[in-house]
Amino acid sequence: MSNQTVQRYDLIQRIYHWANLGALLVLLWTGLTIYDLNIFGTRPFSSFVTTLVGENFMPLIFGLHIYAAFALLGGLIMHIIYDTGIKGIFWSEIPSKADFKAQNILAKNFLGISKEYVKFPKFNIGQKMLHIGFAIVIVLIGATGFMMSANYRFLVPIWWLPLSFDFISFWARYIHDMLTFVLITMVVMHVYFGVRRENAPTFKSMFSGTVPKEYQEKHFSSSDEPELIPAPDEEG
Amino acid sequence: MILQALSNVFYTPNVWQNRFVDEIGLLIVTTGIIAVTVHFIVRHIRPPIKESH
Repeated sequence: MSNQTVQRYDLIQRIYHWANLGALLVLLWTGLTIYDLNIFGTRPFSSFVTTLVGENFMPLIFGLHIYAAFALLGGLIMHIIYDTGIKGIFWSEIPSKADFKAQNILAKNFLGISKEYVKFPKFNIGQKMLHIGFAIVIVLIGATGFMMSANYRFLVPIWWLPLSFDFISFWARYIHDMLTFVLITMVVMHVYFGVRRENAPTFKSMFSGTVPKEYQEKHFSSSDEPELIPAPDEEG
Repeated sequence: MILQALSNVFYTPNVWQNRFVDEIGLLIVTTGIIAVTVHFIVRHIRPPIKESH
């Protein structure tokens, strides 16, 4: 067995990934505190922070929420500049026609209809769509978040629309909260597929940056297009 | 004009008090958790084919 490795994520990509997780955890904790999540009459988040810093916790929690939001959105801008501008990655992260075809084969295999399987390039179509989903949801949550803030409302210039202030703040908050649940769901799915045993080498590569060469060749297509693995023979 | 009309129809003060968003939010998160659970169960009944070549 060789010890050769292939790079999957460089240092900046890994730092971005884990900085995102840190920012999202702070945003989730402070967000649920601001929202004052109520589970069958108990309010665990506001109770927790009250025992921590006392009744007047809102300025601190709001501050943390805003700083983490800037970390997340600043990181997003850096990510776009770095990966598209410097590394020149863009089209390979957009689902292609071949990706859709390949995903059908994967779905048929999952449902037991076919024994054919597919090797994808670096990311499969599900990952690519999740990536786009994350981008859209995070931008919308960020925009609605700014719209709710007196200090940062100017960043989303919609004052010229014939909408009442109450209407805007109502819907900004509604969309902010709803999309947060969507984001939580997407993160849950991302974590589930990330920590599954068969994906362990790619999970480890988010720390080390590399995967074993053998694993890369066995599980990923050697070109930019998905690669079909025919159904195994009955005797094999 | 249209937006103003929408504004009148869809702006309902105090809807937050009835925690409607809790219900929908719970539904969205539950759907995701059910989806990954189904995937987990199916994948353990029928693992993906071994790539022996």
